Amino acid sequence: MKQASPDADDRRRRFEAEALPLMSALHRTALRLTRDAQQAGDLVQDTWLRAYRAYDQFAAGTNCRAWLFTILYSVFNTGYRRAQREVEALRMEAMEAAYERWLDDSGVPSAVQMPDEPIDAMDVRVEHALDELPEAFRTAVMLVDVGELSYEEAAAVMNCAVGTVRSRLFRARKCLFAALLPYAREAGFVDAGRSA
Amino acid sequence: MNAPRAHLGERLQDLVDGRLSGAELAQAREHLEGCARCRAEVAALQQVRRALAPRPGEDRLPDDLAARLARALDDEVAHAPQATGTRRRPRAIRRWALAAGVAAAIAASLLLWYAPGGGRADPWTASVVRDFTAYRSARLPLALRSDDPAALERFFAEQSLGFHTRVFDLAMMDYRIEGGEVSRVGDRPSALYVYRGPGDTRLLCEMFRGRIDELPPAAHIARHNGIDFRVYRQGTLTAVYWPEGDIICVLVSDIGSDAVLALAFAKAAPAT
Repeated sequence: MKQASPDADDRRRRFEAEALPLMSALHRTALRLTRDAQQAGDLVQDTWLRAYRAYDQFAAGTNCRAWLFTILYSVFNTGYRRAQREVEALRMEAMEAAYERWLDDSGVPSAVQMPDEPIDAMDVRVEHALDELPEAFRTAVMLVDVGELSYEEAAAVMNCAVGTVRSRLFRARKCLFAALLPYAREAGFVDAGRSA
Repeated sequence: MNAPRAHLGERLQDLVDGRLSGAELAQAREHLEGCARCRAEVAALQQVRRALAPRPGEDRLPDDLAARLARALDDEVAHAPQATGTRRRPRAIRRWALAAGVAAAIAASLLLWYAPGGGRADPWTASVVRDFTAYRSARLPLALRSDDPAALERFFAEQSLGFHTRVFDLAMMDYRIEGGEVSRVGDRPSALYVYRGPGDTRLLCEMFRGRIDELPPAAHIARHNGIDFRVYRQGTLTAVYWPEGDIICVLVSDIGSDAVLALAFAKAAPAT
């Protein structure tokens, strides 16, 4: 049996040391992107192998997390993305307006009283709410809130300014809250009397 | 009460995301004290973050996927052309794959006994689970912080525990020692030391005087190198016990029972 060259072993060792600790965040994001455990595993494996093949092009000391997420999204966009409908900008503006109305009515701090732990029943609604966001806004939320990237890392993945990430994230979170409000009211987590 | 002059808008998001400090943070807090609208907005933003946050179990890579990635890399390396034009097979199972996924097959093959009703919480497991939980949440004070096994062994020798503590070096499994202290398992003094592993995982080891048959029936028992390893589960945590003479060793972690068992095998190996 032929032995691995010291260089090949060292390359693999360095790759594993850098990339493996980050794979749980990639897997978590892949699960949300594909909503299917098998597809998420396939997506992570494809990302993993593509990253390994390109590892020589990765500059040591730069941001490995941003690099891996860039590859994840590239692989997802080219092979896993479901057919998507266009999300109307007007829809987003309406959600933001609903959020502002709710906020204007929030005269007391007890206006939001959701449970400490996420509840399963909300999960599917969170996914539906994410679907209502335009792509660039959903990506900002996925990277920062699900992948736990910093604004700077998300900006590197999205190839935009940090300020753009911040702005998209803020608008996306407002819309998500507005989209979840009816369900929160049903469950009694917010004051049912407030308008939205 | 004076009404706030302007709401904070995106700066509230900076606050929620921990991006404010110093004077900006102080100003934001001062504003919040007098502005119910901004307080409600902070609560709303926090709620969205919470709805999207990792769910239980999502903060680590599933064992089967870790093993799958290891195999994929083995195949990739095996079929990639070498600089010399030769092809090669992987030389050995990778360390992290052993710790994460391949150990599942090893453990399964060595399973001696399985008792679905076994593994109830006992005083020893309650103690080590308490210590692990404190360690994981950074509430466990470590009397000595060091990544040097020999330094920890000297520390425990000075504590008059009445037994020699062998501190295992798990660097080959990518687990680095962080430090140790004297604790108690049930009513007995113990040598406690902790490791940090891949993906910011945590592992805790305790050693104390005792007999393995003092433990209640285990969830299962696995044999490796002639040693019986008793596996107990409590919630997401796994505790694996094995004897070394009149000393009991126990490893605790939330990385999955197969991975804990694989690390226990690695730690116990030098004694066989």
